Amino acid sequence: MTAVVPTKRIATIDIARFYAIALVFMGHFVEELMLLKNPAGMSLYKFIYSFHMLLFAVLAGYVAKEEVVDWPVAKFIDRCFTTRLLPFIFLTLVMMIPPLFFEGKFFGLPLPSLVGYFRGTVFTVFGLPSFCVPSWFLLMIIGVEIVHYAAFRYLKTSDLKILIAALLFYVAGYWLNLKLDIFNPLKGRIVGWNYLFIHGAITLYAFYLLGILLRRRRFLVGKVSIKRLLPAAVIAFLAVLFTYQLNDGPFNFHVYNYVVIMFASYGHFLLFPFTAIAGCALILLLSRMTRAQKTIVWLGQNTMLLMFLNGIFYHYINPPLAKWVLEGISSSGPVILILSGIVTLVSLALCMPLVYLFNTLVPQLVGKPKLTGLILKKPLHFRWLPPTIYILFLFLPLLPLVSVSLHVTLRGGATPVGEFTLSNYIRIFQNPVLTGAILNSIAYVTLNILITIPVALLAAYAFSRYTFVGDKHLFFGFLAVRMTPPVVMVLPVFLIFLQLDLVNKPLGIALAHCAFNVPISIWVLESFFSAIPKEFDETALLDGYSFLRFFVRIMIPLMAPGIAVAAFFCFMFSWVEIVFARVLTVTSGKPIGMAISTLFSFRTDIGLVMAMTVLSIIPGVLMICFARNHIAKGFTIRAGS
Amino acid sequence: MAKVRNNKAWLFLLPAIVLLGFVAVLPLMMVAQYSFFDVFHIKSKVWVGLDWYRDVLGSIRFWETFGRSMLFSAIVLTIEIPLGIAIAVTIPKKGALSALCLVCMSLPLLVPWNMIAMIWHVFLALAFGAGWTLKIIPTWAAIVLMDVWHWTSLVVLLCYSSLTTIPSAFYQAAAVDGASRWNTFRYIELPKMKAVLIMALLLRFIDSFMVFVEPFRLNAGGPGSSTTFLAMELGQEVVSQDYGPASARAVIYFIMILTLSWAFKKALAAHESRKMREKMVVAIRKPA
Repeated sequence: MTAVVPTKRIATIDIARFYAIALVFMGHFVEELMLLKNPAGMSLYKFIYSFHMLLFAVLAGYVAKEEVVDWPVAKFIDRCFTTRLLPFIFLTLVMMIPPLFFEGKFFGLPLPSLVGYFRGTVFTVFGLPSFCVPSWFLLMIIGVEIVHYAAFRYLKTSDLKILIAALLFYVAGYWLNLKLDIFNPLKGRIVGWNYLFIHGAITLYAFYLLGILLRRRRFLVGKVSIKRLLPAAVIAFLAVLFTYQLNDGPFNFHVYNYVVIMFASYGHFLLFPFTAIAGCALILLLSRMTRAQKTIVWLGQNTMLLMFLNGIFYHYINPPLAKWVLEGISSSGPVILILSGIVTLVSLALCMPLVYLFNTLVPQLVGKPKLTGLILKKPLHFRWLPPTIYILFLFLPLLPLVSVSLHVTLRGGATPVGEFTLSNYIRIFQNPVLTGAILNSIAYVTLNILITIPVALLAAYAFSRYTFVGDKHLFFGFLAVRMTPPVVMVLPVFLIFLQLDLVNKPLGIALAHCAFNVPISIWVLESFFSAIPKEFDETALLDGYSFLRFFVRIMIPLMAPGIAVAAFFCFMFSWVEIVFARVLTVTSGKPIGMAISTLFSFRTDIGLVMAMTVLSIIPGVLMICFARNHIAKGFTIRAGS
Repeated sequence: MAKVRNNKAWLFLLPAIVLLGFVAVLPLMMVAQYSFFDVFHIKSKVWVGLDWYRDVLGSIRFWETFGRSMLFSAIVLTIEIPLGIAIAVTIPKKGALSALCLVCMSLPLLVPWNMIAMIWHVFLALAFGAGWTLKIIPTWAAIVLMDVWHWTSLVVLLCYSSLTTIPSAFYQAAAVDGASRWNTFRYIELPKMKAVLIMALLLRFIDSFMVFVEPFRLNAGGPGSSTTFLAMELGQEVVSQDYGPASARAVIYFIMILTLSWAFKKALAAHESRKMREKMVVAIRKPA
């Protein structure tokens, strides 16, 4: 879908982006050579890494829209989401598929396994995209753009301000980087915070500003003679060549001792930006000299996609390939240089069909929100996204729960640990204590609902239909009872129930739970009663119904939805409550939660515990399915009468 | 719809009053009584007057814990309420999908409370390995995350229930007027949710202020006492059978909560009367 090429794009910049992405591909290949201690690979790696990521920052600044700062926050967030975060999420999900089939290099992440996927997801959320390491730059650029949105409104008036700000941002970012030490893998810090919002973004924003400044000064725009470009490029090249080796620290990432922007590992305060700017100048000048060839420009326009596709090479292909090259072909400098170039070009060529496919099929998902594709034919809307993300978040800790419950976890049994099994569930049903606990729970919750609902129905009817002396105070009184924490009341309740022989019995817990379920139920049912017109009662009573008959025969069926919702609320607070349930069951009648607690010993079978927990959720799910239509249909709750 | 003034309504309320009197008021009175005694045994106790109150209110520890609980409630509310509203507003209003959303979102509300901490223990161990329990900030983050996971759905359910009662004509009118999404929210949805939101706010405030089971099971108030909240101190005293001080503490907590609920009721009354005034203004203008 190259048909829609925005006319305003500057070809030189797209070519520069092509060079930059080629350097990313090359850098990640020579990284493997470097890790295998190949001298040529090490030099080449240090050379490329001394400027290539900063080049992206400069280029992003060069094409940055200055009017962004005038946008309302909502529009800024929307754009940030559709052009950055959504592609990031989509492509990360895509990159989570290959580990299922191929073995790759994932830095100790046990893939493919549930544990590995979980850890990888958490790392990704915290800023280290484990499933596609090269894509970190997309997160970084989000951070930079947030800084831009916040800061540029104060700078846009003059170029001098921008220049001074660039210097200050660099100094501040560099200083924070030394001071905060947010990222230091040797200290076990959480990876990623550095470049998300803190000093990484601040440091890079200096280079972003440099890009803005270059465009404002119309750098490389218009006709420039090759006679001036070539010597300048040669000088820039020599500047990089003679300085990149000099930068030897202090590096944050001691393991490599190279400039690695991802780890906010910059090195020398002056040499780092000097080499970087020289490198950027070199590529920009080279780009200006390059003819605007269609494929190159097209690749340059799709650097974001290519960065993700580079993940395939980074994780799966480069490590074995580098090994093979060193062992099978040659490790001499010139050969390595040529081979790296070839690998880069071949890799890029292999990516081209994929880039084409993504752009043709789902352009909205790869950062082109205004286009439509063959699969996604309409512009996307994202109303479904917040609930979806929220539900995923809710399922996050539940999935390992289910997974553990389906595996053997106890050592020394007949089947080895880690084997898939249903035995945990079978053992629960063979254990009378555990099944008894489930029945106890069901018993007291049912009892509680049976006590609460009639009592609350009557009270709610009164609150809904009549005014009387002290009605407001009474409602407040009920509310206060609901607000009293169980811990406050648990001791006297225990003593009273002990006298009345209610301890160790489901009825005892059911009664104790009335303290918070009755007020809530009154509150819910009152609103349902109020939705039924009062004239309705009067007509029925005029027709000769006795009050009792009217209430049972007519009112209760009408109130069925309300009763369902109230029962759901009772269930929700009663089933899961643990303080009363624990204290009121000393020797027997233990509910499900306490039965699980007793499973813990010095040799806990965690699989069994998890299976029991899964079972404890199931009645609740059934309960919601029963009440869901009424909840979904909606009920007006009034906050008091 | 005018309500009938009828004091016989008290008869309808009698069962509720008797029940709550038995399971709530009577225990509270017993607590109040114990709080003035040094309780050695249920049958042997010595009058100590206000000593326990002086002890509790005079200790720095109590105020530290109080501040911690306040901080926790503040953090939890600032996350859960806006998040709950945002989710509720974006759930589809009808169809099978909305029911599915509700079912999925209710799941955390249905897990026994002591198991919530265990589920998170397993999950956090998978994600971050062991060792986070020794540090203050990760433990706080874990407890907050756990509470958000557990209770945001309640806010969602409450808000959603009131949102579904907005007639679609309102939305159509807003669309005709070319109202932005934000304005639709601000002038149609938020006012409708206001009453429920106050309730959700109060429920969540009190429950998070008196949070007990989850942080206790997650890290037993540690490291040190950096995640010990008010209810956990009371729980410790009840477990160690210091009934006198525990009762005094319980009374103090009850009074705190009563005060807060009362302040809430006042705010509510002010809100209701304002609404009444608005209605009257509309009613007066109508004939003209």
